[in-house]
Amino acid sequence: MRQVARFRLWLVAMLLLLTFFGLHTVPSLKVDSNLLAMLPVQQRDPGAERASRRVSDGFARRLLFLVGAEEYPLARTAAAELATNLRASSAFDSVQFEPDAAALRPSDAEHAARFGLIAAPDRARLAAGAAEALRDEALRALYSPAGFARLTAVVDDPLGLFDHQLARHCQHLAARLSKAAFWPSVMGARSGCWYWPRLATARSRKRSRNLWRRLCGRRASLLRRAAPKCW
Amino acid sequence: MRAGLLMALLLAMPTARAELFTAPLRAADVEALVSAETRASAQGAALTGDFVQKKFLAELPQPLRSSGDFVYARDRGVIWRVRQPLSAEYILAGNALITREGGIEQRLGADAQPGLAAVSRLFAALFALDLESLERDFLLYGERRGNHWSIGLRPRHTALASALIEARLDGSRQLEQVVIIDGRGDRTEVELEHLQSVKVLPADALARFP
Repeated sequence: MRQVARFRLWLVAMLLLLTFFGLHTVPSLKVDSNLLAMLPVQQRDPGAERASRRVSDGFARRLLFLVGAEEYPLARTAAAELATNLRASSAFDSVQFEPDAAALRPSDAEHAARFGLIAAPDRARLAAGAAEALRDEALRALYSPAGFARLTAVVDDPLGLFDHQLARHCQHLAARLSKAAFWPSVMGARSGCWYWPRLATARSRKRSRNLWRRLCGRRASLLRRAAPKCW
Repeated sequence: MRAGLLMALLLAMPTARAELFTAPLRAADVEALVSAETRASAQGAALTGDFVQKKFLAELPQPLRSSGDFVYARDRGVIWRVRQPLSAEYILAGNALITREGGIEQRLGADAQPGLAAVSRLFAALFALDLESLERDFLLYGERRGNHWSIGLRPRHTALASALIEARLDGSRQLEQVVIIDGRGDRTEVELEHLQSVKVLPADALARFP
């Protein structure tokens, strides 16, 4: 009998603890992606943290929408409707329906880091050290009739290392997005579906997060209203 | 006299270019400007010829000059064989670029360089003079002066313009020159010679396609 009473007491204590955790701790929990926060306090660099906050804030405010349809013109029309509705919502600082060519190219930051961003197969190829074969490949790239398909200038990256790395990155992204081929420069179509990327910048990081939650929660109905032709 | 003529030509060149890109036309109107011979040869199963390509790259003081021959086969793709200054074969087939040199074959698919799909479509449409297909991605321009005709292409969408700003095709009896200005502003000039429309693709050419 005493055991049952002790168990009940223990159960009540646990429930109280869980309630306290649920009400007090859970709301203040947040995922911190700042790697610098893991450093010991004395090794932290306020300058680096400021720069990191600025960069992550910039990224966090940007929302990318991919609007898909079976036909390319339809995807574009639907994306235009979505852009109009997003602009009208006044939730965004800017909505880029058709980003300019410069915006579609790799950013300065990516470009500066291009020699460190090498896809694994290319890294293995370079490590193998077949210098003559690599030189011949670079020469062939210079005279290729399809040279203008490359994202980076052939004289800047004759082996296409940066292009390959970006392509692999986009494939990972595409794999999560219903296996559609997505490319920042030239839109691709796979499985008969075109995707049109749309970039919108929210007024603040918090607002961006809230918008994203709302979009995820009511995605279908919101997009159906924003781009009816797409659905 | 010669200097005067050269000066007149130089002055006329930008005007002619500007005039070509004045107002977009419908595919049917552009096709009507092209010579009957060009239209007929574009209808064949295959087209063969020689080329001289000059690439003017901003980073290099001299253009990169190459020459060789090509085979365009309807529904198969394009074999672009460079003979000078190196010996290499480029095959644009489907959404892939296959490069062959000295028994070594390298395949670059659209998964590694997705822009290839657009290039492959563009090449096929250019050789087949498939203006309706081109019209989907490009605004079409055209003009005719005597026997000489010109077709201009400008991408409809910024996405494509980041790879290609404009292209220009010139010819009289046959297609003679293709000029491409790529997304970085670099110019590629391709002179085409000895174009022949072939009804049946020779077996050796056929075997070179994947």
